[in-house]
Amino acid sequence: MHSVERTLIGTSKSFLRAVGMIPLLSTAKSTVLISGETGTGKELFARAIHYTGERRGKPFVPVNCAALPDHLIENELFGHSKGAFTGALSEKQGLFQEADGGTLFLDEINSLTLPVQGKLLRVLQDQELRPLGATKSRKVDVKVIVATNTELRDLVGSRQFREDLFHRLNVLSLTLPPLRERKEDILLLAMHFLKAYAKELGRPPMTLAHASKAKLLAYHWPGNVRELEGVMHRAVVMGAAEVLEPEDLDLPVRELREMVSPLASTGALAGSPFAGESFNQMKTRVVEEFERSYLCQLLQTHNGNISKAARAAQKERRAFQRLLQKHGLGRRTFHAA
Amino acid sequence: MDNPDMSKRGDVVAWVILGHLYTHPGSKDTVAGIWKWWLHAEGVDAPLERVRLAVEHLVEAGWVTSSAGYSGILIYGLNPSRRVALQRLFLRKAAMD
Repeated sequence: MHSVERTLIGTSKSFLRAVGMIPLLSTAKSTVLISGETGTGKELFARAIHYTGERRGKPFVPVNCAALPDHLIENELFGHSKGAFTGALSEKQGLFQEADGGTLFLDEINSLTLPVQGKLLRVLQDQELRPLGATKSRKVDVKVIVATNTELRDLVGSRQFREDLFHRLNVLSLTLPPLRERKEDILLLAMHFLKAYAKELGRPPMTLAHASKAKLLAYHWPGNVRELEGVMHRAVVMGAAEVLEPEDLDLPVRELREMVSPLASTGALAGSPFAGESFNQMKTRVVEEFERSYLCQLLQTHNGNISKAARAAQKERRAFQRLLQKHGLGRRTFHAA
Repeated sequence: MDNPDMSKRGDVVAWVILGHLYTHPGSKDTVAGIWKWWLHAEGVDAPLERVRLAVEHLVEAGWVTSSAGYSGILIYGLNPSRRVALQRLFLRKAAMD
């Protein structure tokens, strides 16, 4: 049995909610749609679904649809028979056949052209495909997981994505939270990458100075976990000392400046905020998000020590603990970071 | 040919990959998937680069085949013609252990 905990790292509510969906998604036969910004771990979750389900002993075949030229996608996905076109000297299996019995992960599904979307829909409906130039269809047994970093529903609205395919894909869906909405996980992940890269590069164990932790927590992370991993990797390669100082963490200055606003740091005013929310509703939401974000940052800075965190916040310990309870936060969550 | 010639290299990682293919002969994945889900999730903590070298060695030795698509992603799985040889190898190893 695979240990998902070793591979999926995080303790925030939104992340654990996504992890909690995996058993359901891995046992269901339907197609799974994973949405999330770039770098949130869509392929990681796709593999978690594959490797915790009954198909784990079978192929996992990832495909980046955006990396395939339009005229080759069909050939790549469905294969071709000998003589299908000039130069087709032998039969070639497509990726659906390569994944037979297992899972096909179609990343950036939004980049498929409308004709290929139509063919994909047929395969999903009939569980059979016809390679280019072939006269007969072939049965395939493949679990399809698709991922997108754009809202497919919007593409349906602008007729760039087939509505029937969208409904076929959207049976079971999973949305991965961006890193800025799981601030509790930033230091946990940073320490994980720090440890892993220090080991890989033969460096002594490294740690983060308090100011470095604060710098990581203040950043907006538009590239999400992938960006954090890159920053920590660079810091291990370039960092001269065992304690990494803020200057060892290469983050864009502009993004850091944007984080000076407390509202921006909660993400509360992102997008078009004023539609459909009254002043009081938005105020309540912003205050709740601010509280949670503030508490998480404070506890991470103090390694989960509630007394120290309460002192730093200039709050009475019992009142501080009530606030933690309100947001479902505890010292154990932050002790590991 | 049945000897993977890994004992003198001391390549534990390659043995673990072969062990996975012995129990799951239908498995296929990229190097990153093998690293995280065939090894790391099972408690084998090896750097990615070492896993890549082990996989390449297994391809050279004929135990593993790779398939590449136009997107450049390489998928690795057991060479079907070596399935019986792999079973023999592990049965012999079990008898010796």
